[in-house]
Amino acid sequence: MSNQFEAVLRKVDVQRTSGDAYRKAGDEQRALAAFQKGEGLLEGVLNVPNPEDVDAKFLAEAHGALGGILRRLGRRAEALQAYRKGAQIETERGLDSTYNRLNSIKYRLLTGADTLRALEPEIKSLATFIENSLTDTSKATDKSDVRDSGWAWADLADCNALLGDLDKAEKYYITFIEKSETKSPKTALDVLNDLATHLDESGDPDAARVRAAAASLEGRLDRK
Amino acid sequence: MQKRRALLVGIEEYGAGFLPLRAVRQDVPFMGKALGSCGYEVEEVLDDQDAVALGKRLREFCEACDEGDVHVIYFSGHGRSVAGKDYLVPARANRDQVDDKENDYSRVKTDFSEHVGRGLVVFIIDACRDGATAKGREEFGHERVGGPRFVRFFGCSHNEICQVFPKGHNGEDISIFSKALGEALQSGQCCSLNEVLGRTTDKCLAITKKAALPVQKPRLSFGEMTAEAPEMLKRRIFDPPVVSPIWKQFDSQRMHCLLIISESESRKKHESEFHWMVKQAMTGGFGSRVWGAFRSYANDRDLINGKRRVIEESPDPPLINLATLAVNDAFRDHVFDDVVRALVEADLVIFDVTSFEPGVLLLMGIRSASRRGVSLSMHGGGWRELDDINVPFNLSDLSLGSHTEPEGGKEEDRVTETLVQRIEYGFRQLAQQPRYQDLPAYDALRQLGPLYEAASTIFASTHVLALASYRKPYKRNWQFLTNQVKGFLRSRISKPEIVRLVDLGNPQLVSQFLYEQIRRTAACIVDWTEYSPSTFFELGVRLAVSEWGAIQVVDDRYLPEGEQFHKWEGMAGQIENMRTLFNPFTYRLDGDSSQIRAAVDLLLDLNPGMDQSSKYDRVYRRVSETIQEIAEAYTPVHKQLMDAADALHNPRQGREGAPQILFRHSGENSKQYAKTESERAARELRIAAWLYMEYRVKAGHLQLNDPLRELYEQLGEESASALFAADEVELGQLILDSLQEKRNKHE
Repeated sequence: MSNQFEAVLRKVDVQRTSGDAYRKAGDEQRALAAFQKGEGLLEGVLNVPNPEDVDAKFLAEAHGALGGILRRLGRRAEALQAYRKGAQIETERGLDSTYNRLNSIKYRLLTGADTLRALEPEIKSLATFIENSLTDTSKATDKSDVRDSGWAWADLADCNALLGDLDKAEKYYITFIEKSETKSPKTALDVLNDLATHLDESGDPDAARVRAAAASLEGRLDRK
Repeated sequence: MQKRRALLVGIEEYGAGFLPLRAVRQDVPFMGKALGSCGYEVEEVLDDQDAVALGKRLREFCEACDEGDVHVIYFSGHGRSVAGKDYLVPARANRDQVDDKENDYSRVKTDFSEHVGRGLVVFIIDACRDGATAKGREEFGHERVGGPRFVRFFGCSHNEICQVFPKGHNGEDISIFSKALGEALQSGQCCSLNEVLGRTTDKCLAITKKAALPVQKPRLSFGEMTAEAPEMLKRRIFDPPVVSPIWKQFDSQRMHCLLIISESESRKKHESEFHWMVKQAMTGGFGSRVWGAFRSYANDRDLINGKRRVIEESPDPPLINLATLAVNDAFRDHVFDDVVRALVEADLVIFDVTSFEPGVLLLMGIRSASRRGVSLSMHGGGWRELDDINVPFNLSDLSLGSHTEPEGGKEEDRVTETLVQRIEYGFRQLAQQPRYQDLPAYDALRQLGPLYEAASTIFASTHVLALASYRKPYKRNWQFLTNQVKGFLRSRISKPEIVRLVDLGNPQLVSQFLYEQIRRTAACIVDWTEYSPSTFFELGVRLAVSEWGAIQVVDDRYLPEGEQFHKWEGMAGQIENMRTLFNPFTYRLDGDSSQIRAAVDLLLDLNPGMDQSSKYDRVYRRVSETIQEIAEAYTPVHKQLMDAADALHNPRQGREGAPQILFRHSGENSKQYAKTESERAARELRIAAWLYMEYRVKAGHLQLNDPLRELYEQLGEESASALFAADEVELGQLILDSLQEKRNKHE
């Protein structure tokens, strides 16, 4: 079952990257077709009768991937639903990954379900969780460790950006940029920019710090 | 030092009047092996010698038999009695010529009693073949010659003939007397001529009975019975044989382990503690762990002979062949080929490197050059990890383990546990690291670069490579040897050079440059003097990888009878056996240089392409033969490309981030060129791998559940994804379309 998930995630990755490439090239029709194909693949695999039999890591990842595809399709509310399901799996099944948890926070902001101020305790708690994961050596094995994960650093940077600690955010973004694939920070920046724009538009008083974080990351990427 | 030498003569083809003797093909190697196992240095005479040449060779062999020595001549062929004297029939001789009483140039006498020095010569004659014409008044073997120093051992008695046992040896014909005698010698039950005669006779009678052939009883002939004769007949002249402990054949479903025990360890007790410890490591709970680690490496490995190793998951007990050998015994002539084979075949070799004995180091060199397996170097003799130790400079980065005997109790388990951990770690690393090495030479010998010149032979006209000690006491030897060798080379080479590594002035790491030279140089002289462990390691490497072999020399003061030998007294067994096996040329500082001249002549006359029955390439040939059956097949091209791509940029990196990217800290204002280049190179490698699978493997036409098909899909998707990420939409889509087209065909 896990192998099947892994294969589907790989196929979704192709559709997502091809969609991004077509969109960038101005071929929106093919981009949408690719994203929709990715969505179909994920819907098929997420409708398994016994999801508890699936490795939690892959299940959470599949929900996260669906959220990413739906975001690209402009369906933010559905994306939030996907991230929420993923976040629930991350929490209930004790995963180190925080991708869905952070995105569910971001999409609650993007969809206007919550304000940044209201979410601050949850963001702080998540930041503490990530920091603990990144400093707790007791769970490390020679097979994998969260400190090797670029995305953990991105998530911690985002949390700090949302909390207004731009120094920390910048430091963690640097680590993220250095550890991740070259394309990954661009994706993170897109979400951050979306978020800043939405908070600006909705008159959120803390919109400025998100805009500053996005600018910081963008500046860092430009320098790179 | 007493010498035991055997000279084998087998003649199969004859001229008119004699039947060819096909059994000779089996007789000679069988007797060679038997005599070798009893401590004899065995030499074969080519079967194309005429009567004069053969007679001369036998006479000289008898003359060289000095006090205390025992020389054995073995002859299998036709014999004739002419004018009451016994003769051997040389190759291609006609019966008329042989029987010509007036002319004895076409036959070889069997009485060499007058030529024997002060030792004992035993002449074994399996030669009374055809009764119809040879018997009668002039019966072969009737002549009474010899004495307590010259004994003839005939294969049959009066009125009998030496017969052939049809299909009596591995389905081939063999002479009854030779088979019986060989088996008697190898039984370990007889050490004197009397005992050998008794046991050989019993065996001959048993064989003739089984084969329903006339009786054949061997006999000894030594002239008149003198007072010395009974002593001679009772003298111990055959050692109980050392039976090769090596597995008969490589079994791809089993794990093969070879343990080489040092001479110092093997002398200590009947069964050394180390041997016991290794046996412990291969059985019970330890054995299961070793097996699991071995399986992680060996299972599903393709071999170049087309077979695939299939390793059972957890057999009880583990299927492990463990062969243990004291280093001295490894150099016995009849065992050595097996040992070389085992060094190549063994998945695991454990070397007891206590005192870095030369024989052990030579075997390590062979292993190092010929097999990427797991090899442990374990030191005993009181040494424990972290203690100071002088490691030979070639092996300075070796990971030494200790097998020093524990003081009892829990520590005993700890030492075995450490050994097992090393084995486990070795196999697991071997499984995941394509260039795993625990000995130094393997990659350096193979990675010479793509240029033709990089792997071309360096001939003697460029230089002769010398492998020798770098210690101070050797300095005079080096000066003497270079002068002498250069002098003799000068007669045939205009600008002769004999160089050691230091003379070549190359800044490369020793380990890179040394093994390249060892592989490429045609003319190589190895000096045993000082018994430098590094030199013997290099010798092992050289013998394994070069068909040109090595010309070995030694200052005779360093031989067991020499005045400098006392320092190596504890290694005398292996040195003596290596000496018998490799027969190094000897020299003496400022003394007779005739042997150096002979060594240089041989060095320049070597021609592996033309030389027949050469001994200098024995190890190389054995390694080559063995490798055909056990070497791992080259990883398929698409897998190599994928592995290279994954090592540069793992597909998991996109989702999970990257463990340990070297030099990821690219600085405040610098570009991330290193990472970008890794990703780009990985992408190109993946595309190449996919194209190979698409057009060469045609994996898209395989069933969907075929592992190769699955790999093809995965690779295609990863390649396409990487291309899209790099905005190369057209090619990415091309790959996706091709994958879809293949899927559609299956649906």
